Amino acid sequence: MTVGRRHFLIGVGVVATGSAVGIQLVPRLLAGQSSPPVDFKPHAFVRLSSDDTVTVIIGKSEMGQGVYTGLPMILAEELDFDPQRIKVEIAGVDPAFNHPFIPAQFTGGSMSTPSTYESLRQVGATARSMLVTAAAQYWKVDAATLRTDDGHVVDARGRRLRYGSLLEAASELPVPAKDTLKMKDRSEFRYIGRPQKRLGEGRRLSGVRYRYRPARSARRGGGPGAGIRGSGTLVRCLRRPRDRRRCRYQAGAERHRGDRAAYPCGIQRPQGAAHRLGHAR
Amino acid sequence: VITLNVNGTSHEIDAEPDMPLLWALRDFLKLTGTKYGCGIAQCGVCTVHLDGQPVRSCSIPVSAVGSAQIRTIEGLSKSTSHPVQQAWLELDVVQCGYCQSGQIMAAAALLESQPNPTDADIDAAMNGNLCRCGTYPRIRAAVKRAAEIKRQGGAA
Repeated sequence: MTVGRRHFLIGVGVVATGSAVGIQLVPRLLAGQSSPPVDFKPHAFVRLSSDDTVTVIIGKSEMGQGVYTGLPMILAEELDFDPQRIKVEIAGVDPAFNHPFIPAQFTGGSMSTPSTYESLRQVGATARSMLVTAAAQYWKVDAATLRTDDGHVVDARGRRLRYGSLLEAASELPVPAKDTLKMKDRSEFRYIGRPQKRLGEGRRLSGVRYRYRPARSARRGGGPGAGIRGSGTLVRCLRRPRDRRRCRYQAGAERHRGDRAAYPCGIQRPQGAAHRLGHAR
Repeated sequence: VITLNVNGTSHEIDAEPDMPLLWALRDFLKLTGTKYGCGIAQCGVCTVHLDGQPVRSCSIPVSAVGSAQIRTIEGLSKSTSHPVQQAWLELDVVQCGYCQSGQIMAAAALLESQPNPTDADIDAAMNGNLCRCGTYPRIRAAVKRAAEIKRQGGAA
């Protein structure tokens, strides 16, 4: 594998499918530029930034089942980074996020965690290993004497280096082979298997409007967009009107573009109800 | 033209008198935190406060609101500081979240009338708010926690 300075892939094999999940390390800097906002950018799943932000990019829909908390926890475990500080980004439409067994960006069947568990651990372990190697080179010590602790590499004397300060150096290192990765033993788990508060909670408790707007290509192309439509808390049409005349407020709903077809129509009021729902009878 | 007092602001909307309040809130005022559930006042998802009382906005025509003060989830607090929202966050009540605007509004109204509700009070007051995820045990615990936060002088 040829490893370029600014662009390389860490091939992390996914056992079940033989496909590869890559981490692509792309320092944003071009030659000649000086100040370093560096992205250590996972191709599919993860992006580390020099401001110590870790972002996990998830191709699953969060429907309350907790994938936007559970999957970051898996990454956090091997990366050694507090999951509460991990940001979640909703993946665009890309085959990299396809389900391992189903050729689509599919969420369901209780498969999100088992189908991404190994790859997220490997991505985390790979990134961690490269950060440790970068720190070892900086301190000129044996990498085996170093450990990590919540976003820092720590040496035997207790000196600490932030992950964010190591990204550029790490991105120039060769990618460790999968079988050289030292994965944690279950007994060492800090996050997996322990309750975590849901990540990013709050906006759902305040009525904040948020409409997920998928990339234009996704909206146009149909296909995977169908999955996106149903995500988040978009109000969806439960029952499309067969007869538009029965539903006066449909017109209002149509005007409201983000919520197109937002209101179920054709629902009949029970007899004797005090108020009509607005459906002409 | 109908005037609605929503979250402390007066709005004039050009709606037919029989338009349900929920439609007015969502379509005219773009306050989409209040959700549509059953449309027949059976599920509680659309709960808002009318002069402090929890009501089902899907089944109240705007003409019946008059000068009453309407409070929606958006008007409950700035930055989720209401004791109910705080308790909800603390106990991670929400799963999918669809019913939760209504749950929170119902709980907030309950605490106004009963600062120290018993399990039976909670069950009675929250009985009309359905949750398909089944978060009821956490809701009950969080209502109690919210009461505690409120007693300790949490933001209102």
